Amino acid sequence: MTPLDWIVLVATITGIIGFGLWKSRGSKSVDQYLLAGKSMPWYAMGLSIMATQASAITFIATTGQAYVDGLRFVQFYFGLPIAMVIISATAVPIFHRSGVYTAYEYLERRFDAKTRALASIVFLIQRGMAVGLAMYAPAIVMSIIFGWPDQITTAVIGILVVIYTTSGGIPAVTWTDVLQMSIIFLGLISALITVFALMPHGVSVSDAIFLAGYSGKLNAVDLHLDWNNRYNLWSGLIGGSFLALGYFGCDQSQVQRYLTGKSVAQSRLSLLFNAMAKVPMQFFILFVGAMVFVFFLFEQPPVLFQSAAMKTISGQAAYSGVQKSYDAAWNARKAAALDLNAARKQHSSEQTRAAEQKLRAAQKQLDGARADAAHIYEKAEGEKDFHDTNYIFLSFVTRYLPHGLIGLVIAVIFAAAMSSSSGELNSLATVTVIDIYKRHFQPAASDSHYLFVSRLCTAGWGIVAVVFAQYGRNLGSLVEAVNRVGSLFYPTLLGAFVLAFFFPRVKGGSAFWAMLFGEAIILLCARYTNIAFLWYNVIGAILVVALGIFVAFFVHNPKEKIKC
Amino acid sequence: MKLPGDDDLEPPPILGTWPRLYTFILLWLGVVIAVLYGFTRYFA
Repeated sequence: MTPLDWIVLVATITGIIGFGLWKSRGSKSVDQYLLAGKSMPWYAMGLSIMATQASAITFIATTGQAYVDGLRFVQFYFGLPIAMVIISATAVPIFHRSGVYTAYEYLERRFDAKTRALASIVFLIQRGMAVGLAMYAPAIVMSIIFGWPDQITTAVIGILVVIYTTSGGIPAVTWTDVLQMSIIFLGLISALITVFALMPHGVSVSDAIFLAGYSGKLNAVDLHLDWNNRYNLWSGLIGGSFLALGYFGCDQSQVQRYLTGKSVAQSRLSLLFNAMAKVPMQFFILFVGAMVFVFFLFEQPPVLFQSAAMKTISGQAAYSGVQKSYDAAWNARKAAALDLNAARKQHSSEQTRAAEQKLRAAQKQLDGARADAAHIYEKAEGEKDFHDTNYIFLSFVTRYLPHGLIGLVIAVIFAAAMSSSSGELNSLATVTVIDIYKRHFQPAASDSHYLFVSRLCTAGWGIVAVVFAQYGRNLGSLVEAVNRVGSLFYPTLLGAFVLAFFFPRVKGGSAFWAMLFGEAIILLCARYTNIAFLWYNVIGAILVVALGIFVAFFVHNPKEKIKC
Repeated sequence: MKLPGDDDLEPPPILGTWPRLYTFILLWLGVVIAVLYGFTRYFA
């Protein structure tokens, strides 16, 4: 980082936060602080919803995932537009017209207090863990640039986020997100242009894309149905729809965004804007990661992308053998890539096939050397399941991007992490204050009292998030970790809301017990089966709905059975 | 089938009605998946 990078970094972060705080001036009531006085236009809500998902985790981890695993992760988002249409048609008008602060407040109106409390607690556990991961992401940046331990930097960033979050409320979060999304797009486009410009002489844009294809990195759609395969068209369309229904329809961090809308139409448009833009945007982010992979076909990367891990293994006896094997494999892969490119240009299918086989064989050897290096690190540090996926893109940025642009990309990552964490902290505080504190402990206090408690809760959840973030590096790819945690809890919430919206005969007691049993079965599935996590959303939601109907008709109200 | 939001008086800014806009979004998804599938096949 040169002084130019520091100037860009500090100016961008200060500008984004300053803009958010300026737009949120006058947030002196709970209604302003938690719902922005229901004054937000659709484009601000839409970009804010998108920015919450496209956090630092998306920027860092998704590109790394494409490097390792290709584009297949894009299928995870195929269900999102379907979910957006369903939520726009059903949940948005219901929430708007009921005039609630939180989605769970609606559950009490429809069912009872204990169902609302259970849904609130499920949300608080799930989102409390996810916000910790969102805070952990920028700590990776600091660990690469400054070599600071992840744990300390997570704590420092967490404290900064908590201070910022308590001041502006949701208006600050939303307007910050708007600016942040614009800068994210700018950063991504700049990174892609740079990676193409850095390709060696003789490798054009189309050559790079073909090389990514030959390396198996452009695997965007897989039609094969496999229950144990995390990402294919069917798990994306079905499992992804259920996950997105749970996330956008039942998670307060998202519901709160579209509750700030001026009208039902404005809130719907914000979701439908996401429905159209999300898949292309995720494809673009993954595509950047795939092109970084192609760049590293010609420029040798380190065996492990995490600099601290490299320092650890370089002192180990087994390291030199692994490094030799890695060097040999990388040289073989580079030669095969050059041969492949030349053969393709000569339209020689035989030579192309031979070079492709060499490329894949060298890649296998390279992956083996990287796995061996990871084992050395695990053995030396006593850790399990070491991953460096989250370090790949940043390693590229800090080594190869021009100065100034490095500062911009780092600023994007920081701002993304800070604003998405602040939004999540804001929603956690809202549920704690509205669904727990006001409902069960202090129902008739003044507006200023609830505003004070909201700020206090924001700070409290910030501390919880920082503690959970200490375990971030053991969770593999961060983006997967967040979705895996979500898939354990969203199905229960989704099942409860489906019962609330579409099954008027199901009452509070039935929904409550269905949620409890459903959650227990999902957790057992996660512990004892190999089913890919996206399917938990389908299984769990259907299970909760079926259990709710069963308990309502056959246990709580046996007379209904006779009527039916 | 009547959806909960069908009686909303404010129409969308394009395509006139909400069901038409929803249909357009789902068609868009179909086109995006088809293009990505073609992309996968072409570069595989």
